Amino acid sequence: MVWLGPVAVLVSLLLLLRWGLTRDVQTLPSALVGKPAPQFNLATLYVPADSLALADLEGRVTLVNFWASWCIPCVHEHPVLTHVTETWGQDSVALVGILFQDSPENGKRFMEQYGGDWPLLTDNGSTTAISYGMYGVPETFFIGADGVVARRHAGAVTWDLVESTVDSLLRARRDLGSQ
Amino acid sequence: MTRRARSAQVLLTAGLLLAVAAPSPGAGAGAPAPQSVEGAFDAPAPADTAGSGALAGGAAAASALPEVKIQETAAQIGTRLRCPLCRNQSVTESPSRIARGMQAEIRQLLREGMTPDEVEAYFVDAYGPWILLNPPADGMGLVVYVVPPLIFLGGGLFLFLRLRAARSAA
Repeated sequence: MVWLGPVAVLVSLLLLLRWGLTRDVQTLPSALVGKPAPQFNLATLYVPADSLALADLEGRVTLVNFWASWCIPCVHEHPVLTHVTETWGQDSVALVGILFQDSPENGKRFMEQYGGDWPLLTDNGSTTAISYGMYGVPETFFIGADGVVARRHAGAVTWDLVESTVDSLLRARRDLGSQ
Repeated sequence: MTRRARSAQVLLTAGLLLAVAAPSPGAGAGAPAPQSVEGAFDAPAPADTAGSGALAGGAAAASALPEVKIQETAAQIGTRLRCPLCRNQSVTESPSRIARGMQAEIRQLLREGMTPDEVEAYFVDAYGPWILLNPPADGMGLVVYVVPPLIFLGGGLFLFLRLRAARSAA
């Protein structure tokens, strides 16, 4: 019976370790959720002399998608992102892709291969990725019309997730507009 | 059970408890698994001249620190920050591109006049307290500091009681 105490402690610790090691990174909340989205002003992929700032998208529901040509889940989520631009106009839902640790040439080749037409930006030194607390691509941040991060999703997004999140943010945007 | 067998059993228990109680640097809350494989890209290395996302659009005071001190301080801060794509490896130790980017960002933030505490707070704001290799000694982080000594003391007490019982049985 005297063994029961240490065994209980050991089992508890092992269960704690198991829980810690099996947590899914996609379900870990971002420290940014509920906070104003970090501002950026980045060069565009196709015309580096041009730039786009998050402030330019103020008042819209914005999806900031970090991606790379070498990232396989980015290929999987690409049709979903394409569908975003087909479903909502850029004046209500803005999708912005930020190339993460990849060369502009590779990024352009990827877009030529898979198609899609939304603003694509480059992030020299990954400073914007770091300010968003990025772990790895793909990661998508859903930003409300009020400029606050509503959700972060690590890994390939699904249409159900995008649709439900964007719909709720659009409802919040309408409520914001009617106030 | 013989005296020798009982002593061996007690020592085995003590060893197990010590192994569990031994503190592990950086073994904080559950670390997320790396999301992607690095290395398959040929973008230029992060440049120190890159503008800081934290201070985009805002004027920043320039640091009075000499460059050599900035490099030294950045390396020290990097030892306290976790590389997001690695397992228990600091930003300073990791050769990964994201860690090199973070190191460049730390230097840039220091040049712009941030103190080391402000730089750490900047990364905590973006990643959460998980980014610190040594979790803060409050909230859930307190568990990391309190539980190992408690286990150690409990193990010692258990060992003492077992040895005393073994001695009186003999």
